[in-house]
Amino acid sequence: MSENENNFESLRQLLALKKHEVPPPGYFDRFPNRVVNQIQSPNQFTESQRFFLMVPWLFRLLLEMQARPALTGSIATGVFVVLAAGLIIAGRPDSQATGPSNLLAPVSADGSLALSQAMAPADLMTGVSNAADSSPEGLAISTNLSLQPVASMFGHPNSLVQPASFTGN
Amino acid sequence: MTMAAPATNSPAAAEPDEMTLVSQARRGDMDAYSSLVRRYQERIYATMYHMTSNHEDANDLAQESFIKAYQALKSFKGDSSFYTWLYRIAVNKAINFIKQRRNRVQLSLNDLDINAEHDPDLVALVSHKTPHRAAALSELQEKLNAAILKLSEQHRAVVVLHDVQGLPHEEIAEIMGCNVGTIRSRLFYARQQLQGLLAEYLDKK
Repeated sequence: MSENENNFESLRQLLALKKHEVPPPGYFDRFPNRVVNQIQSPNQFTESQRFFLMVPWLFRLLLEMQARPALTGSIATGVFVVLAAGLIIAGRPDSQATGPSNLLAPVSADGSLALSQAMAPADLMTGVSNAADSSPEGLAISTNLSLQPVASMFGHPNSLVQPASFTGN
Repeated sequence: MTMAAPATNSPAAAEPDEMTLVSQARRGDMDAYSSLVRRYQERIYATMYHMTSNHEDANDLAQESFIKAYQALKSFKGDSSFYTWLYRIAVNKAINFIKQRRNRVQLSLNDLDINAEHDPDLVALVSHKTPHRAAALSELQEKLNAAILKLSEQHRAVVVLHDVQGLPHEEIAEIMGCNVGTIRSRLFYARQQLQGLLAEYLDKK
């Protein structure tokens, strides 16, 4: 084995150089106190540790993702596919009737809002604000929250909605 | 950083011996345990650092090792020295950590200390490579750590404990729970691997 030791003498000298890698100055002065503090108050967690303790499954998922890049890639691909599919579906013509592109309601020449029957309540309010931009002085909107439109998934106007009234120019 | 002597942090002459401190710590004396931490912190940290090449990981592992040792102090029977027992806890922690994070490649190296530039071995290695010594030192440090990170956790532990920390084979065998022959063969294999990985620097010597 001593012959082997001689063969590796250069390597040993090189490895011995690692002794020059040191922690930041003062590190060892503070270290014992940190250990003792942690022993005496084991629940003294950092902000991120506390968050991960509240959501242990997320912590496990992050560990898995760090350990398995392939899993991370799969999850990222899955998220991308879902987002892309969502964008494609939203852009289809049959979704335009109730889709986001319809949010800007037309305003007729006399300043009143032209509301289609199929328009969702959310569309209504967007239309009002749009009209308000064009003629801010002639617009009165109820600020009573109970009368504000409630978003509906089915496109039926809410009975509590009152149309905006215009005093006209 | 020679590691054969049990105390590098030069405890005060009046400080009680290891077993006295251990029995005091066992009874809940935190000052005694703090003394034990001070006594071994540099070597435990260095082992963790050389096995992970990352200061934050080394810090966490060293802290966790001391905390676990304190919690397990009642199970310490004194068959080996406290120092060997503590090392066993720390090395096992580091090995488990490396296994969990095997695929994570992260190098966050510490700064070299001011003596590095005056080390004759280091000067011989880098002086004829480039006039920019600081850059060469940094490059050597990176290559050295990258090579060590390529070893398996068991081989890495043996190289770090023997060639970096200077522990004898017998003590490493006790720490790692295997026989001396296994340690020698792991060391031989690990050195061969490192020699191949660091050939560029070793040829110059």
